[in-house]
Amino acid sequence: MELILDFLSNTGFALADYRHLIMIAVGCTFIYLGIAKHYEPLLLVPIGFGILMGNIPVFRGLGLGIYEEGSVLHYLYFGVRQGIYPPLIFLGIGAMTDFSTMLARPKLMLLGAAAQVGIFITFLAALALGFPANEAGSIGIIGGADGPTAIFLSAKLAPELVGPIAIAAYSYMALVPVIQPPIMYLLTTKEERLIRMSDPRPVSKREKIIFPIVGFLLCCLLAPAALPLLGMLFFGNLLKECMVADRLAQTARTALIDIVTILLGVTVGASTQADVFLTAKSVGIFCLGAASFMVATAGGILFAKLMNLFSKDKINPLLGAAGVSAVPDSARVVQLIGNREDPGNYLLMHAMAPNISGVIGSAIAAGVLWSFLL
Amino acid sequence: MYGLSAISAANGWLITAAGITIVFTGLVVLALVLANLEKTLTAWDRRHEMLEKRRRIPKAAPSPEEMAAEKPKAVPTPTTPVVDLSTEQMEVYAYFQWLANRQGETFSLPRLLEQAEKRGIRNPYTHLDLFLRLGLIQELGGTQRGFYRWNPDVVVRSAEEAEVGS
Repeated sequence: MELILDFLSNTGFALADYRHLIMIAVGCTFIYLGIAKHYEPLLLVPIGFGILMGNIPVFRGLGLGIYEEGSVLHYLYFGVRQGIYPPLIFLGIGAMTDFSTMLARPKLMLLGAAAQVGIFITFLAALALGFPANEAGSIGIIGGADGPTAIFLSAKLAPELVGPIAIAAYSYMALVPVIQPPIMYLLTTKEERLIRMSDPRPVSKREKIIFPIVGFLLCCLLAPAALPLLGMLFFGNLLKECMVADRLAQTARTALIDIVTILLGVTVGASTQADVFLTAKSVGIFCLGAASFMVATAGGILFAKLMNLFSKDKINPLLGAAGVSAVPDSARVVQLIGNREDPGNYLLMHAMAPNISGVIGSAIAAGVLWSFLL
Repeated sequence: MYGLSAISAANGWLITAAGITIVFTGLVVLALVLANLEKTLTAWDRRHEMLEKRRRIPKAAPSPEEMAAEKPKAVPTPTTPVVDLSTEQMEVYAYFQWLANRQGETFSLPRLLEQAEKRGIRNPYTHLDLFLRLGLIQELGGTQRGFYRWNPDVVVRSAEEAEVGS
């Protein structure tokens, strides 16, 4: 009888408190959003299940929890703690991304740069609210709307905040269709939303091959701390475009990125153990993350309007919203809003230019923050 | 510490200004390089021509008498058929040749198309159809029916070369 009572007192049912139940509900919500609403399912489903795994209360000392030395999850989490997974994801992103729209109209890259203002304004806001500089930098990068970049930087600057920051970044990325449209309507007029973009010029294969080499050299010579992310991004793209390393490109954009996404999603989810995650700090991170995302969207739109003051060839300012690097969701939202105003206006391919440059911009911003705050 | 004093104490203003400047500088420089990449590549392709132009010593303009005496030269008829392709078509032609050479001297069209699609070559069907119509690709007969080869008797030149030549 005593044995049975002992066993029952060690079950998850006995060890769970209200915080575990809240986190299990959050995990189920993520899984629901991924499966039923199709919001970033490849990320939300693994993260959601990871949250469930991380919030089964376990007896300390058995080597089961993600924060316990020697546990399986602890070893898998090593890739997050040491910033290994994000560059591998960037390799896959590079191998699956076609940069031709950006090469055809490089001036749209400035919108990707403008949207990164959100990162730095949130960094200032976090400092003002009393966060230490390293944590403020990690919170600010949420505005880059790039999950791997956010995880990479917070793993380097504030490893204890990886969980809340990753969850905030991916939640807001999944909620792009909800967060961005009101800001887009607020900051643009109907006439501006109706602006049609001219067709981009065709881009030769040779340009596509030269771009990753030139882009890598320029960006990494300027901000060497962005090397792990941008190096892998451009390397992946070179594999895709060079035509002689098909097998490598194929692996990078399919098996490798899928494996790493699974490991990253599950371990980041599992790192949100209720006792570590449910704190006032996490709430602050979530609020600042949302603000960062909104400021980034507004920054891109306002910069597009500014460019229109000096340019003969007008840009549809909705494209500025795609400067946040949630690829390709923010570009899809731009297409959706533009299409709602004028069903014949196709903005998706144009929006991909600021969208992709946003990825480069946020990686540079992460590198800059890392080098300043480490 | 909170508010503006916290920002100042952590060098927040400086980091923000430097960060925004570096991100903008990086992307602006990259945009400028990309905007000029096409021109640079075109100039590189025409480097021999441009060097030739520079080296050429300008001749004195002929007098009206010399011009009147000058008879129109007979245009030599080419012995081999010449096909003029646009710059884009030339580029695709080169890729197709490279891909076909990986199969050997003779090649299968469906496999070539598959390889071209995999590598993201623009409009592979249209281009291949054009090369067939222009006689650049020949179908083989006999036991090798269904296989193709590049026509060695056709000379291909870019539209730019054709302009210079004319």
